Amino acid sequence: MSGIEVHPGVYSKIRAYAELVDRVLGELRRGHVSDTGVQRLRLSSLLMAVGDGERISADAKLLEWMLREGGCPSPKRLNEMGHQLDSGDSSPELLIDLESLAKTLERERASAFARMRGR
Amino acid sequence: MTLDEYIRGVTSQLERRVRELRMRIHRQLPRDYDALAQKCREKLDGVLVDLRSVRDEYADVDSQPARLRHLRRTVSDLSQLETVAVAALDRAREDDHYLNELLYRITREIGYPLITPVVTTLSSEYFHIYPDFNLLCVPLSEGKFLLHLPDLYHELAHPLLVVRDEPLVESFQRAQDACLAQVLSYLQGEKTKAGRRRSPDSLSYQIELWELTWIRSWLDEFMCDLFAVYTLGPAFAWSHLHLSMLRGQDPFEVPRLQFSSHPADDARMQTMLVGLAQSGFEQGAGEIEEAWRSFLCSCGASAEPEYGHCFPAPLLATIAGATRRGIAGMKCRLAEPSTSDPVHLCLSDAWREFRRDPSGYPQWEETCVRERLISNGVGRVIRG
Repeated sequence: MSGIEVHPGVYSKIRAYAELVDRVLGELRRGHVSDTGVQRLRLSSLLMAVGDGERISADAKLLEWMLREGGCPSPKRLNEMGHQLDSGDSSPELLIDLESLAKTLERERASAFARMRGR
Repeated sequence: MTLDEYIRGVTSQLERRVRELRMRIHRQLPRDYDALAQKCREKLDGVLVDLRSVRDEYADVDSQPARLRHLRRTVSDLSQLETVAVAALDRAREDDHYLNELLYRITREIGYPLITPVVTTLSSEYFHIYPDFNLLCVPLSEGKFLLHLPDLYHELAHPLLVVRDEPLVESFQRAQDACLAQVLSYLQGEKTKAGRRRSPDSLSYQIELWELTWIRSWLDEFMCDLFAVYTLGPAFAWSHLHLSMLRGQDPFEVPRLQFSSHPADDARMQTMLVGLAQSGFEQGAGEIEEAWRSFLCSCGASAEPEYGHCFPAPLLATIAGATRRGIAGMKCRLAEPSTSDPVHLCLSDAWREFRRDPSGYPQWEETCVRERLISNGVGRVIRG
């Protein structure tokens, strides 16, 4: 995300998204989904809200914008990925796109970390 | 050296850094610091867990990029602990203790619903708060002065908007949700209008940029300003004028290509004036408005046409009203002209005195801080 200052609260959100994607990616790669699948549900719900005019939330808007500036995947693809996660899919294509999402989020997180400030 | 060998070496060294930081959390600090000290210990423990995970839980080749990302996040966490939170504990001294006592008194006066944040004088950039640590940073010598201290009230509001599952702040967060819905609805309408007019793509982009900027930070900043206005009164609006005079840029700034973390200074002031009028401070609001206009004239600032679209007055008034109801719902004390709480009076007196006798003010302030606050302890202020 370009721009100047980032509030610590916003940084925490970006960091949480980045961690969430990596956790889910790790679970899918290991073929082990935690008992309740909480992380996967959280991520699928967040991604499904992206690109969905009816369900869009403040968190999803923030994510959509970060990714729009940061590059891939597209909002449409993020929405599809949300549905794939929701249906229990763990195809190689999904893993590749989650890896791409994780890379973009890490770039955004590192950039935001360098630009935190307050009032 | 392979990546695995490098990571094993570096995680061992970082574990040693964690132990070193734990040793820096002194046990002799006043009780005000207990919550921050505990938070630091917990977060350092979390860093240790992460470091061990990075070292041991990424065996296959495909996972190595994720392993490196995990390491980098953990290093950022550790860096923030070292440079912000543990540093605040390690460097805490009398100036910090005094400000902590002052902030505690403020939170008691206004009925602040959460644990009082810890204050540190280690800020390198004006006032700001780290909600994760509940740590409020101010410049080194801020405790010796009074005119910027109203900003403490603004910073106190940030944690109210981000803390999770806390019934005591539900009404404030509901107000935030309601305001966000209003903002999004308004901007959706602007997008639709732009589409009907077949406006250039750049305008659509700009409206979308406003949308995200409102979501990302502006709404929070307006609500924090209003929290300060409703709990302190005119002194906060005066301090905003002061800050705009000394550090502000274009008071009518509207982002075109980039985010801005804070709304335009004029929009913030107009919102504060609405809040003051709603609180019975019509006279004070009038004086501030006059001073604000004079400031705008002297800096030659004027609004571009899109300014009114980005910060429409009815939307700002809606936010002001909803925020007031949200604060009342938290059962915080709302400031009125008759409010006589000691710290409230001290900060209000400072602004009154500054305006009455600007050239004599530095002497007045020095004496006030020394005699009413520092030498006799903040408790003296409480007793008036």
